[in-house]
Amino acid sequence: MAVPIAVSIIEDDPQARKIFADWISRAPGFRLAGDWGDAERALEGLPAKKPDVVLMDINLPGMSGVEAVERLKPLLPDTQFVMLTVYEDADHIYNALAAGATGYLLKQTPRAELLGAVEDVHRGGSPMTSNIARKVVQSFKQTAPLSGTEELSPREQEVLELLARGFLYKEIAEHLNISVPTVNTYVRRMYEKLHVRSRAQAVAKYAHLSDSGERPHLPARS
Amino acid sequence: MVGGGLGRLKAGVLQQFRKQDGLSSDFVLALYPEADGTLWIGTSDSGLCRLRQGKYASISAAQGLLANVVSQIADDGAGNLWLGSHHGILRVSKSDLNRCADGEVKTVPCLSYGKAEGLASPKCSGGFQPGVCKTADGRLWFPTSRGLAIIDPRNFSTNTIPPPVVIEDLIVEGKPVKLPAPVTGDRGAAAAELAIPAGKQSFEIHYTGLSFAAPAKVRFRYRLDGLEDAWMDAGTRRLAAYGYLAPGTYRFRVLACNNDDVWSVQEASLGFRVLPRFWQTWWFEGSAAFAATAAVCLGVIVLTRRRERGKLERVARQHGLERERARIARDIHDDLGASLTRISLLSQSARAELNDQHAAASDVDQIYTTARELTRAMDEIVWAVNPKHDTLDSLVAYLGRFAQSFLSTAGIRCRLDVPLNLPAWALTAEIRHNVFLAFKEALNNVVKHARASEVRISLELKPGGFMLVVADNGRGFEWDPRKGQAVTAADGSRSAAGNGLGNMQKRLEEVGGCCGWDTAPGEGTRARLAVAVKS
Repeated sequence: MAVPIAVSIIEDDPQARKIFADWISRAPGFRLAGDWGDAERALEGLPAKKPDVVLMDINLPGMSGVEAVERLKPLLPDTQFVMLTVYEDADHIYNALAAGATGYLLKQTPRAELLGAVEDVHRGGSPMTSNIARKVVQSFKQTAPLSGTEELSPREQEVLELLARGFLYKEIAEHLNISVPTVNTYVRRMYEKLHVRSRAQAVAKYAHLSDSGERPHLPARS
Repeated sequence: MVGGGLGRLKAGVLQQFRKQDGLSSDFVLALYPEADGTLWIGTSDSGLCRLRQGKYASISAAQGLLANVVSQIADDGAGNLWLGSHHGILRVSKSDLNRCADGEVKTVPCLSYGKAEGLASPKCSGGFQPGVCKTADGRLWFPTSRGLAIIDPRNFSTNTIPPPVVIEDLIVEGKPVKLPAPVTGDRGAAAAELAIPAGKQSFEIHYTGLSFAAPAKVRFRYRLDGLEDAWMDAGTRRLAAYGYLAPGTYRFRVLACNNDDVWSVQEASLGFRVLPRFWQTWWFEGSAAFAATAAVCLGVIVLTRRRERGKLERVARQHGLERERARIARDIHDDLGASLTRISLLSQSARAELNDQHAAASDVDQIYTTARELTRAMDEIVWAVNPKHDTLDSLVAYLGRFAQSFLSTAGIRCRLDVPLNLPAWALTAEIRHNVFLAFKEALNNVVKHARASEVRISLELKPGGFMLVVADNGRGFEWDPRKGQAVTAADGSRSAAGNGLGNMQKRLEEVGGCCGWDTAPGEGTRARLAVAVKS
């Protein structure tokens, strides 16, 4: 039998956390690798568990889920982060994806669908909706190329534009005469470029502030 | 005691009353005591002052007195005070003065006699008491800077002919508009309505009153029903100017009074309608330039009007806000309240049916469906309310997401065509809500009636607005553009849609937009939702 998928959960609502934890630990092929109620404690405990997939609530007390991903992703490059959210707020989701997440799930997703999505992400799937695709296109088109980052390849750009126009993965595959897993690979690569890019942008911003003699006020972190 | 106020000598003691005691001015020029103990005081800078039972009341230019210098006061014995001033000899009714001093009315009607009535000079010379003389035959003698003026008050017949009032011209953006018929009296009221195209930035109405006795003294009062709630005193001005008027029905009404304050019985009025904007006749073009010119030309008058309009707009905004809040409250009550009630009832019944697995499972399934529906409804409300989403980008993202999930459930392909960069327009919750509902209706029509396999949603930017197009490849319908409605098919299958089309139209009109359809049987349907945005 295949190695079960190790899943960690960070969710502040204890009831919801317990339900998700139950689903994961009871489902065949999945293993619960710890659950936390806030990002601060997860930062301490999670890296040692080396989970395959992390389900991360966007709205957490204290440090947000987006910031937690931003800090955890460099430590766990092989871990896939999937955001949990109540509302499909494109801005929040885009920020999380730019920070290093590879997908998101609505909290009201039924059990079977949620497990399916976790499995999918683990196997290399990368969900992307047209709204997110639009934001990714904007991000790549509006800012100048940064040193150390890669631009999108023409094929990736093509996939992205079709996504933004509402095409489904299956339709893209048909349209471009490629397979659905290939579409997934393109999207996964776009995500990676987006992560590198947003990290480089953050660094560039910091460097720029230092150059001008201003010290950014970094919030104190425990 | 020049500049020393008023002195009272009582039992050998002189007491002085000054401005701080309530007197309207320290410079007293004339006094006139009445039998009942009332004292009328003429001042050199604040008109007339009444002292009655120890209390002062001031009646000056602010109350309609035609001069602030009162150097003589005389009583004609017929209920009028005659006042000498630098602007002619004034006649005011005592009862009017008293009512004004008692605070019952704000202004006093006042007549002035000057050069036009035969005075050699309108300037009375004052500074002496008494400065005027009433002879036994009832005539009043006033000293003026060019000799004595003798007035016989009994000879002053009042002009009792109310001046007929006429509206001469309506000038819209500098161009005269052809009026339906000579607009006098109630013929104006009966005249057919004038239609003014949308978006005009200035309105001038010229009117006049006909009085041969003293044409320069004809005064006017007007109001624009639909904009103003009260009559405006125009003085002797024969023109009313307005800036931009919102689409709607208006009636301009004007009254005139002659030199003796006799008001016309019959008003002149002019009804007109400012048409709502249409996408085809964009009002943006050149309107900015014109607004600037118009603002300078119309100057102070327009500024006053504008301020009033600002007030009205604030009130309208306030109303809009209240409407919006009422809507949110209703949505929360209807959508969320009902769903939560259902969930609590279902969980009760599931609890009772724990022994019957099938019944319990069906209850639990319903709880799940209701809760999901609830989250969706909540999402819609929160999205509409949150000011963070007051952008075109957010609206488009929301509509796109909605369309994709809505159409995919119905098995219809969805294609989006939206420019990458959208202008940073502020779209209020009201606009977003109405556009969303109209859009939803359009998609609903596609799913219910069109039998389409694909829907293309595109956004086109226009100067000052945007157009959302929902195009399907379905069976289309027969559209009657003149009636603005769908032609009902023989089997009546489109009638429900026809109703939906009306709803869409209404939704968009509410936010200053409009919608249209390009369609024919078998040709698919293109619903165009046009929205104007004030940037």
